Amino acid sequence: MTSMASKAPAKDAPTSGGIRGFVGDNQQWISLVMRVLLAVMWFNYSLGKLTSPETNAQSVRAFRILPESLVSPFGYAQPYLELALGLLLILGLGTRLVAVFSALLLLVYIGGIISLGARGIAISCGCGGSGGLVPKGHTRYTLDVLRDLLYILPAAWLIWKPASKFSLERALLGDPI
Amino acid sequence: MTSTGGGGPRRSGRERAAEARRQQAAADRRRKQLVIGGIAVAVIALAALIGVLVQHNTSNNNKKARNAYGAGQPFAAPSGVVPGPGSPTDPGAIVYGKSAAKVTVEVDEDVRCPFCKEAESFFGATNKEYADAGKIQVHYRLVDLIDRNSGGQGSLVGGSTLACAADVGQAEFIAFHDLIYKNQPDETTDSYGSVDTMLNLAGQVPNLRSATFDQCARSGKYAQWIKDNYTWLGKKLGGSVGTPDIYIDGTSFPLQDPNAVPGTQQTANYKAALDAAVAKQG
Repeated sequence: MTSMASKAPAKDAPTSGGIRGFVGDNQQWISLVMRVLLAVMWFNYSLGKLTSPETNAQSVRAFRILPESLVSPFGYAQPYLELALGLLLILGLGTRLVAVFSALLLLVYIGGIISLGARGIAISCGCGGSGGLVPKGHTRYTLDVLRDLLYILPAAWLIWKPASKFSLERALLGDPI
Repeated sequence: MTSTGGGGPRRSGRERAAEARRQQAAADRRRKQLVIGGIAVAVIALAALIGVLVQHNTSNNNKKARNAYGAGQPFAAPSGVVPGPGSPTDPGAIVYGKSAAKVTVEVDEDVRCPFCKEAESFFGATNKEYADAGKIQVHYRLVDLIDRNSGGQGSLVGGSTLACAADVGQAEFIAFHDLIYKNQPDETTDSYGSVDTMLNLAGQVPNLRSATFDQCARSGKYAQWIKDNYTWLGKKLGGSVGTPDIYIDGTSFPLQDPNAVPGTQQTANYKAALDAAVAKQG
């Protein structure tokens, strides 16, 4: 019965339809919140590194995944990339595409952290700084993975429902996205 | 007659027109979506490109600055390095302590490295105490790890100036060594990259500064010694150089996170390890 009610038109859904009705009614507002959440995360990730890209390159090096010739370019490009993703999300331009890209990048981060834990790498010097790497015995890999997994949620929502309030693409394209 | 028959075609004409408009609108939407997607991809690609260009530019400038200090100077090792007299393949380490001491402590460090400062604060006094008592001799190898990774030249200029102190004497060297770590700037601040800053600091150590010492520091006499020591360490460790590295008679004694193991505990552990090594050597 409740499932029938939840499929009912939006007007009478809030009282009888529970979460699904609420989501149907407010999808574009929820997507807006998700956009802002994800954008704030990217800005937060980016700005810490942007001021000290060398330190970030050192953090990238400490992961010992990329070959040396790619460490510095990636270390420098990463904060700009994150900044661009944040900007596009705030503007609401190409939201689904940016959400896909965000999720992929987060998966790369998660993979990197898990592989650090698996290889038992803890770095002893030159690695404080922005990447969150710490001296021996002070790793928080589980927490870091959980944090990034949590951030994948808004990205996943936006891949599913990219249309949102106050987005440039909706202004240009109209409903529905 | 014609009017009844004409109703159908006119209606379907309107439908056709509406259908064409719908198709036109859909095509417009697809075109706009493509443009928007293209803009998003272009912004992302542009951001990555800017990052790579900034990196390229920075690394070129760093290379120039690093190569300028000590340019044209042939390899030279500070006085009394072990193994003497030092060579590009094994540049040697600066010794503090008495030659009769049987236990050797090797300290591979970078004057710009914050964890080296931490290690110095935990183990530095103990090293001096044990070396002065004739129990150990400490071998200091200076490298330019942070310069290479973070840019700047503080490891190179600071380290070279410290190496110049080894020419003056052990007491002056160790006093300057202490002072350099006590005054170490934040890792991202490269104030040790200035020879003047280093010379001012050296002025606080009695009997250290002289015309010879200043000349040694300004010319970057031991810059190559430091660069070669980095190469030496890289070969020894198989690529990934980290500082500090401390070895008691060849056995690594790792610095631990003070949040996990308090500094006082680490100092005690270090003393115990030294005592064990001294006892072993008889």
